[in-house]
Formats: sequence, structure tokens, C-alpha cells
Amino acid sequence: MSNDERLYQEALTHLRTALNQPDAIFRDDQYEAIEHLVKDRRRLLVVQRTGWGKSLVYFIATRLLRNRGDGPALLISPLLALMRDQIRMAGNLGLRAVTINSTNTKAWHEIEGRIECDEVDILLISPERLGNEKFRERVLAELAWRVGLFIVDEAHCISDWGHDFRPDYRRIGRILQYLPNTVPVLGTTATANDRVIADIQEQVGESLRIIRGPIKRESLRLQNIMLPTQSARLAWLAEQVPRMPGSGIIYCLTIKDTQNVANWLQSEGIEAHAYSGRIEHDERIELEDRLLRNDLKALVATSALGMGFDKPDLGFVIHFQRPGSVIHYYQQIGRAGRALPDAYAVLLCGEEDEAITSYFLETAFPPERHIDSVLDALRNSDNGLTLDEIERTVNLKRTQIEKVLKRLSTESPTPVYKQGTAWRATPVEYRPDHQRIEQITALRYEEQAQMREYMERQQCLMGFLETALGIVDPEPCGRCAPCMGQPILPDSAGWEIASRAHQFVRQQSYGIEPRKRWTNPGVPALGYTGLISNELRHEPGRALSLWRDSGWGEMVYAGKFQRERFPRKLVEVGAELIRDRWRPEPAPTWVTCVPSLQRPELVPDFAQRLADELGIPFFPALKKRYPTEEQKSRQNSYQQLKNIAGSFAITGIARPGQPVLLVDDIVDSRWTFTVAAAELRQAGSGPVFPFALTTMFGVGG
Amino acid sequence: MTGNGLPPETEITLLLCGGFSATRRDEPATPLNVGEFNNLADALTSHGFSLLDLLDHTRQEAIRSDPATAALLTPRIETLLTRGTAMAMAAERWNSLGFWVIDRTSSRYPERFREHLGASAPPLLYGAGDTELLNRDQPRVAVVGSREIDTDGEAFARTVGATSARIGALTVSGGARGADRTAIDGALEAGGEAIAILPGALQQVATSRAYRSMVSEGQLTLISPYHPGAKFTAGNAMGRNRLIYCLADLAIVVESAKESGGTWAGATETINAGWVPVGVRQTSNPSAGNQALIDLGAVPITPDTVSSPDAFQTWFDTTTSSHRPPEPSPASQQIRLLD
Ligand SMILES: [Zn+2]
Repeated sequence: MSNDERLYQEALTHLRTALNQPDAIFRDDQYEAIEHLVKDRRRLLVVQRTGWGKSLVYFIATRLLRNRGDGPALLISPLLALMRDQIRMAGNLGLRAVTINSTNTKAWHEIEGRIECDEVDILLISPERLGNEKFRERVLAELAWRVGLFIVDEAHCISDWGHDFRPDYRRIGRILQYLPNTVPVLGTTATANDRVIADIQEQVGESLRIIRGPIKRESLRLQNIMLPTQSARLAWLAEQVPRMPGSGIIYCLTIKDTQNVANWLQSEGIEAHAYSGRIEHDERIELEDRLLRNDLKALVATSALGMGFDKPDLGFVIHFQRPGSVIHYYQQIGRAGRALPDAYAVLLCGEEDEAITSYFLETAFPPERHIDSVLDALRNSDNGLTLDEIERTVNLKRTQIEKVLKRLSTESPTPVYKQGTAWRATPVEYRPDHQRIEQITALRYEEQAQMREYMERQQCLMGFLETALGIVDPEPCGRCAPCMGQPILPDSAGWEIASRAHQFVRQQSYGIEPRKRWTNPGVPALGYTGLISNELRHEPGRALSLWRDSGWGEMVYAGKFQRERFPRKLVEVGAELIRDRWRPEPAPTWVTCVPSLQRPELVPDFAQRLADELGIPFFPALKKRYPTEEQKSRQNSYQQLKNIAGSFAITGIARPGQPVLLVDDIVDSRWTFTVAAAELRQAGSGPVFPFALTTMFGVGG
Repeated sequence: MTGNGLPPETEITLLLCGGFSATRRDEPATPLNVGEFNNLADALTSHGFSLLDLLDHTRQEAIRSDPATAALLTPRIETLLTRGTAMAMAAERWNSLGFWVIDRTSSRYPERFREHLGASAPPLLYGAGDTELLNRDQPRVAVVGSREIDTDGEAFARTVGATSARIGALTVSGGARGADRTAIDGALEAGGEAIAILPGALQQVATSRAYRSMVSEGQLTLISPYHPGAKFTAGNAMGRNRLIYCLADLAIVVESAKESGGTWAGATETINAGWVPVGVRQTSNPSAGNQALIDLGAVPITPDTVSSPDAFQTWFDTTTSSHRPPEPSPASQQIRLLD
């Protein structure tokens, strides 16, 4: 037997062990990929749709390399939480696979020890870990000395032309540039167009070989439906989702929408649940498990439910709004129908789609003035600044500061770096690459336009997607709505359900959770430090609408900025919300409001009428000592609290010890409610329930 | 070190000789010193291979299976060669922070190191700032001296830096506290340029508020034979002293102890090797160390001379022209081994 045959037989044995199937054979290109890595120790990019078996390739390659005495494999993947099944498969091969992430810091020390004793065969880490200096020095240093195979999962993220480019992947791309040819490299992705592949090749080097399979999913039945209003689309979902095969995913563009859609479907008796990056890690895993078990009809998700989610019998993928690009869209619908004869992919398009995707596009790069103010702060410091200290120095939101730091620290060369908890300036003169930013933004607009074109497409939809992804002259699929010459699913909903949906949209309300902690250092003079005690905290509150939403948001906006009085209708629906749906406990026995020197009449007038409608008295218990800046001009918590703290005076508590409804027109950071409630409680009021006409919180995803 | 990774010569030198971690403890095999590195290169070359073959899996196999060369790849060297990922992560990090690394075959590597030190020139140089300063055709004055100097010594060092700047000369120094930094500050304040050769702590100095903008604006170049994260150690300081002398046209000793300390060792080594002429600060009441250096052949220079650009220029010209350079190091040919 030649060496090559011996390698093949060895690989085949491992394949059968891994799958626990004595007659399994390799699928297209799988062995070729393994051979390239093990025999030639070279570089490879595998572009294959989900379900092809890329994890088999890297586990068997790792096994074979370990059998030859090579060092352990390093696998970088953004999807560690979703790799439990794969880790089990590694176990079948006798591979000791270890995951390191922020949830198991306690185990790091033990894992370090195991790495040192060569008791780890494959280490799985997230791209973010790789940027963490402490992790690199402590845990990775030992392993990095001997890495025998460097694996990058979801490799399309390396390219900033890619559809979900992630800053931490830039670093991986650069590490690959510095990686000598002595280390074999495997990149895997399910979605990469020609441009992205070319970009990866440029970064990894000429020697990168590419194995690329077909992308078409035969079982998918595609249809596009234009339904401009949210209520029409909600009605459609309530009518059609129960008729869909099995379980599926409904994708939304914003977190708020996932909650609305899920609430609506639940109210219509459909087992649906919201899923987004804002949901706790453990709950996300639980939700994924329930979907896998068909214990949920649908998850209503943002793109956070994305790469790597693997459910062969997923029956449908519906988009509540139009995603930003064909490649996004294809990646998301590609999860459906892997092991089914038929699965549905329906694109619902609405009036707000374009505005939301444009918003994402325009905020993809931090504005230059944000960058400049953070850099100035760091350059003027001797020993660097912590995030808290930067927040105290510059008037930007914490998320904006974090976005700037993330962006800058993944640039190369970078003008900033993190040492311990402090950010420091480097000797690098930073100039944003305007040309590149413009090019990328222009590309994103092109992608948006292409998606618009898809939406209006009257010919084969699958053919359009394939062409957009680099397939030349695809055959018509014969299964989509245009190929069939008629809708596969009805393109509107019944009148009755539509009117319920309309009602639902108008009845939305939004929770106002109490803040639990003052900023650090807070305002010590007023005792505003550390935790906010239960005695000073406000109770959970409600807002009637989302800033300028299609329910009541526009009416609130017009009342405030155009007519300078809120209409009677808002008094009615406000009272209805408080009395019939919210029902705060213990029920407020009086009403007060947040005072303003700029518009002294607007909110008290509304609060008075609301109190009348509720049949309880209104007393203006608070007044403004001095004018403050508008809270929305203060960008972060530290600045907002500083702006508002101490600005209220108590004129008198009408009903000491009694629960009170605290009314304001707009809630954003919640600091105004937090401080006003603390003042009221200190002056002897009972529990404080905040109510606002509209909330800015959660706008824009 | 911008764009697509490192040249292969730098890659193999880093793999074999580089340190990547702030703490030596993490390194399971000791990187090769310059002698070991040269020996390996010579041995491979004499059997028809080259160091670059170690970067290719198939060529590595050929070296391992050739009985003449199999023994060259000792377990220690094999271990060093597996460090590819550690090296890539370190190089990416350095580059991101604005540091570069060059090997002896680089056109940016100081020609004078190759010339004076031959095969014992450091295989790798790390740095921040403009590399163009390293080989620029411009007079260079090295300033050395102990960390503890009195106010007269400090004023002298600062003036040497400033006057050098005025006559268009580059100041080369060690970047330590005391005479080193004072001379550099003098040069930079006078609008001149300077090179600091550091015994470690490159990252610390480059990101300090005092020098950050000087480096980014091209006025100050920092170099070190030790990687940017390496700690400052006395041993390292001794090792890089000769580099300060070798990079200059002449050196001026501000203050030296007698027969002890780094300044004494570096100055006497230079006088013996004859790399460049050595000047010594002369005062009415010179220290024992300074006097002993004059006795060994160092050229005295007074505070008056350094404070006058004309006088200093004359002294510089006379001292450099009367110096007889040594024969080029016979080992200097070996440096080409990576070409
Ligand atoms: Zn079709």
C-alpha cells in the first residue's frame, strides 16, 4: 500500500468512527480537503453550504496530524455556543476538544495546565478572545508555540467586503498574513461571493487553494409579498404561520420588532418567541433547543440567530422586513429545508425596510468627530484612561465610545491599545481611510438596491439569487412563485385578522425598567453612589409609543413639536393603557409630572387631563431649580446624571406614603425618572410609577 | 512590516531567534543566539540547503531525510520551528502598535552594524519611527554616560544634543534615564533628530506621552535588538551598548565610573575595537573614570567646545578624520548567508 493509500484508509476509518457508520464514505471534496492539509500541510478555503460536513474535515485532519506527532489545532469560531454537537463528534475520534470563552474563566487555569501537558488536541476560541492581551499571554502563549493546524470558521468575515464583517476578524486576517507556511490553514464558509473569496486570497496569500461547491438549495420555494404596513404583515403571519410545515424562523431587522411580532403571534395563540442578542446567553441556548425539538412554531429573530444554526428539518424562513443584501438573505433562507422535500422562504416587504437598512448603513462606521474626541482624550493622558474615565471626559455614549475603541483597536496600525483596563495611545498617527469607507458604503448601497430589485423581480427568484452569488446562467428553479406563474401562498390576510392586527399595533406599550445603579462615581454630594436602594428606585413604568412609530408615536411628536398640546386621543389611550392593560399595583392615588422650564405647560396640562380621566387628583410636586440642557444632548450616563441631579425641588407631597403616577412626555436615558423618583421618595411619597408618552429607547435596533 | 506579512528572511530569523513573550518562562525552547544561528545557516548552506528551506514542509522533510543534515534539526530547533502561530500573533500585535522588525538582510538594517560587527551583528532589530534615519547619510554623534549624573553633566549632555542638531548631526543614544535621555531631549528640543537604542521596554517608551508624538512625527526613531514587549534588564543593556557606538561617527562619554559599569565597558570595548573615536567630557576636575578613558586614548572635549556650533563642528571633523578605522570584520561576509 502506498503512503497515499494508507492515508486514505486511515482517514476513512476515522470518518466511520466519527459518524458511527461502518459503511460511510467521504462526500464530494471532503477527502481532497483533508489530504491537502495533512499530506501537503498547505492552505485551503472551503466554500460549501451548511450541512456539507466541514467539521468532519477539520476534526479528521486534526486527528491525522496528531497521529503524526503534530501540535494541537486552534479553531476560531464565532459560534462556540452552537458547537456542542461538533464537540461530541470530536470525542468520537478520541480528540480532546476544549472551549475557552468568557463564561468559563474559572476553568482557564486548569485548561492552561492541560495545554502545558499536551492534553488538548483542539482548542476552540472566539475571535474576540484573540484580541484579549491577557488571554493571549496567559492561555494561548503555550498553545501558540505548537499549533499544528489553524482553522478559521466563517472565514468570509475576514473580508470587509463581506456581508457581516466583524472587526475582530480583521485581526485574524492579519495574523494569517504573518503566519509562516509551516502552519497549515483551513478556512471554512457557507457564503462567500467572488469578491469576498478574492479578498481572502489576497490576505492569506497566493498559495490558498479554494474548494467551492454548489449553492442551490433544491427544496426551497420562494415568494415575495409586498405588504407596506406592519399590521398587514402581522395579519399575514398570524394567518399563514400555522399552515407552514414544521418549525421555522421569522427574521426581523430590529430587536423591538422581534418582540412585537412575537407578542402578536403569542396573542394569536401561536408558539413563537423573540430571539436577539439582548436575550441572555442561557435563554438563547434554551430557545434554540426548543426550536430544534419543534417545541416552538417559530423563533422571531434578528440576525443574531445566524451562522451555524443547524436544523435540517427547518420548514420555513419568513422575513418580516427586507434584509440589507442578497448574501444576507441567502444565508438566512439557506437554513431552511436541508433535509426536507419542501420548505418555504417568504420575503415580506414593508414601508420601513429601506429606512432601517439605511440607518444601519449610515452608522456602520463611527463618525470622525467621535474618533477625534476619544483620541484627544487618550493622547492627553499620561497613563491611559479606563472606559469609565473616557466616559467622564468626552460627551459620547458608552456604546459610541466602545464602537470607536473597537474600530480603532482593530485597525492596523492602530492608534490605541488596551493595557490591563486602561486604553493608551500608540505613536501611530491615525487617518481614517475615507476612500475605503466610501467604497464599502457605496457597495452596501448597491447591495441594498440589488435586494430591492429582487423584491420586484417577476422571473425565477432562485435564479436571481444564484446569479447574484456568482453562478453563471442558472436554470429556472420551477418551484418559486414566478416560475409557477401564481402565488404559492396567499398574498394578503382576511379582514377580521387584519383588524385585530391593527388594534394590536395601536395597543403596543413599552416597559420602562428602573435603573438599579448610579453611575460611577455618581454624585456623592447627593448620596447618589453605588446601588440605588429599593426605597429610592422607581417601579417598572410604561411608555405608550416608540419614538415616531406608526402606532401613536407620530401623534406624540406632532403634539410636542407642532401643536404644543397633546390631543385628547392620547389622554384616552394613555388612561386606557394604565387602567386596563398595565394596572400598576398598588394603584396610584395621585398624579404628578416632570417639570420643564422650556415648555412649562405642555406636560402638566397633559398630566392634569390624564388625572381627570383616571379620576384621581393631579399635584405638581416637583419644580425645576434651574434650567438644564436637554437630556438628549448629553450622550452618556455619567453626563446625563450630572446634568439632571440636584435640578429638582420638591414643592410638597400631596399624599404622603401613597403610590403616585409620574408623567413625562419622552423617556430616553431614564435618568430624569430615576432622579425625580428619588426626590419624591425622599420627600415622603409612596411607590413611584413612571409613565411616558413615547420612548426613545431601543430605536434603531 | 506593513502590508502582506514579513519577508521570508525575517520570518525564519524570527522563528529561530525571536522572543514573543514578555516572560521568558513561557518559551519551551530557548531561541538561538547569534552564533548558533550563524552556525546553523553555515551548515545548511554547505550541504546545498538554506535557512529558507525551513519554511517549507517538503524542504524540511528533505533536510530531515538527508543523512548529512538530519542531525542539524535538533529537538530544540524543531521546537523553535513549530512557533509559527506564536510568531504571527506577536508580529501582528507589534505591527498594529506601530512597531517594525527587520533582519540583517533588510535594506533598512543599519549598514554600519554589518560593517563593524559582521556576523555578530544582531540578527533582528525591532523599532518604532522612521527607519530612514538608520541609514541616512548624515553625521551622527553618540552620547553615553551613567544614569546618575550631576547638573554639570546633565547640562553638558543636553548641550551636545542641541549643538549636534544645530550642525545637522543626528544624536544617537541609549534612551536610559540620565545622560542618554537628556542628550536626546536636547536634540529634539533644538529641532534635531535622534535615534534611541533601547535595551527592552520598547513598547513602554514608544507609547509614553513624552516620546509618542516625536516618534510619530519622524523626529525620533527607537530601535532595540529585543522585542517590543521585552523587559528592561541590565544584561540586555550591556548587550546593546556596542550598538550605540557602532551606529555613530563618534561617541562622547559624559560621565563614566572607573573600571565598572556599562559606560566603562562600552567605551573601552570601542577604544579597543576602534569602531569609532571616543570623546570624553573634560572638566577642570575630571572624575577618575573620565580621566582613565583619556589615558586610554579617548579624546577630551570641554563644555565650551560643545556649546559653540563652530567649535564643535571643528572638533567633530578633526576627531573623525584622524581616526583610523579597523580592517573590515572578516566575518562580515557571512552576513550574506540569507541572500
Ligand atoms: Zn424559480
